[in-house]
Amino acid sequence: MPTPSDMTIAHPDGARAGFAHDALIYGSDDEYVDAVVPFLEAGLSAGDKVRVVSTPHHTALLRAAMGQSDAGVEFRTITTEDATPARKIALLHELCSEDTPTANGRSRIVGEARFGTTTREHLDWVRYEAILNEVFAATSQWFVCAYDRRELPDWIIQAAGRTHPHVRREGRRVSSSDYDDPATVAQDMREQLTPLPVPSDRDPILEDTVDLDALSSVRARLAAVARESTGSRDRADDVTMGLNEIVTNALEHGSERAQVRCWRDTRRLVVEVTDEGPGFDDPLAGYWPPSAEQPDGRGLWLARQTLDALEWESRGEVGVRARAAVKL
Amino acid sequence: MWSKERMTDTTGPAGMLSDGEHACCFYDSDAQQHELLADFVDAGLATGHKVVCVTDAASTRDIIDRHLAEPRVQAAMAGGQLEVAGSEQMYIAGGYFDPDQMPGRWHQATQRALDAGFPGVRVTGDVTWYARELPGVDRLMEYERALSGILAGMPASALCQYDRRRLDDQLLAEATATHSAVLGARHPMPTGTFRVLRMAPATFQLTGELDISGVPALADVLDGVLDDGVSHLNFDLSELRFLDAGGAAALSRPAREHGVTVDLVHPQQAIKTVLCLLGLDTLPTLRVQEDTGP
Repeated sequence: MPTPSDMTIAHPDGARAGFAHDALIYGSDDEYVDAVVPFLEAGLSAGDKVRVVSTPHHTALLRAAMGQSDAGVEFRTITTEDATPARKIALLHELCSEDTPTANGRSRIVGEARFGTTTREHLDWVRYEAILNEVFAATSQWFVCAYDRRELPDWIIQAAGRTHPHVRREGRRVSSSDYDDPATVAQDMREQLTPLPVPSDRDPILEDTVDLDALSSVRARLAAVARESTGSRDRADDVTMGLNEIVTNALEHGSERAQVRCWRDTRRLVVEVTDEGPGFDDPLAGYWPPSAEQPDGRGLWLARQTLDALEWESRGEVGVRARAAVKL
Repeated sequence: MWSKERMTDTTGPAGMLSDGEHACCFYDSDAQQHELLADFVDAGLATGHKVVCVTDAASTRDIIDRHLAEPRVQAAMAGGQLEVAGSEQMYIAGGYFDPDQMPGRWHQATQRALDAGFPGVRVTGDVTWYARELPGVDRLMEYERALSGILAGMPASALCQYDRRRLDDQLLAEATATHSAVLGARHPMPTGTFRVLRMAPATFQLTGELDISGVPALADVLDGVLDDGVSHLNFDLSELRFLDAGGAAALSRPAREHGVTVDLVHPQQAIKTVLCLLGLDTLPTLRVQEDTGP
């Protein structure tokens, strides 16, 4: 197989381990295999840890193309059932922490850009791509995210250049001239994602005021709503844990008192927490994986891990409005 | 038929006993037992009676010790008004239970209290030793039936404690029938309230829900323990029903920052999820011990 020289370059930072994040734009199975296999093989021969986190279809294509040479590549099939950007970050973080130091300390992961079906999901996953640049900046990971230009809307293919320092297409790897500051992209996406909508023409099923003294009893009421809505005690426990962190965050950084409201329709439960605080503007809040040595201030990580969607809006003098959604 | 519901009805606070009375109380957790004991001791000291606590499980002993930390109670102990004894001294001396010896022990205890100038004696005893395989324990109810008669007319009263987790329903039903009243804690804690109970120098039981409002209390306790220079800590989490991110951070601090090995024993599923989502289960100094059943 002919191997374009720019596909087999050494690690982008040469001998020094560093983070790299490439978008791979492809339009056919052959194009995918021709781009990915040399990248994996180069990693193996360089002594990198090499992983593929992808669909069963792509996993099968790669294994067939590599034959015996796939020994040493770790394949992991992704499940999309309950996938959210935050849970995908947790998975990548877990993979990175599992890495036993290789001789050169470097890892490669070929992943899949899966963007769901709705515009909201699209925006959420574009934000995810931007956030990877911050969250994994200190690692020695080389991520390659595959974009199927046959399936994805044009604007998402365009956005790949904004969220990846390098783009691979038609056998070439070039640095992206559109690359943008991750926090700026995340903020842009957030502005389009807020407010997270509530089921229209439904009255709230719960309205409460909460302060520190009432935290336990409001949590009990939220737990009851979660149990009734999800029908699963374990799922309800997780949801309650996440909602508690949003309320705690409002009481700790917002105002002494916060308002809680819940709506529900057949598809989702939406919970709103508003406080009168000055708000916070970090578009990456809740996406930083905790380290076991330093778990403080990771409440919003718990919230993002346990809830299916979560957005904040600072509304000036009115305060902050957080809304979370749980799929039913 | 007696039902569990019936047995939860209480007729008054645990401290409310008059001379000659023979009442019982039921508890489901160490925290509940703590409340009952605190009520009983406080009420007895307040009326000037001699107070005797007969402990059984190691946990009872530590609950008492915890209560003793209060200067007022310490003074009562030093002055002889409060006495703590093990069940081996009152009920199962010699490793067996003999109800025939109990009237003599009651008379002796009452006489000692009167000799020391107290108006009478109030005894509370944990009868969880019934669950041990000792000769004579099957005669507990025979004793309970007789005790009301023994106490009648004496300046003495008894509150028998029954652990609902360890004693069978049949026995609990009989206990309800053989006592004049079932008493409860005067100010029972709301179930969500977070409590740290020190069961042994390096062993703590956490009960209730640990969230942002409970973290300062836990941090205070841990600061004290860390100042003492411990190298190992045990936390019984079986009765901890909720843990938030801040609570998990506080709980793991000795393991993270002080090199203390920490055992988290019997955490419920929701607690394990939090520890796991925060990656704390990967700390080499922190061990999560699964529930291995009763």
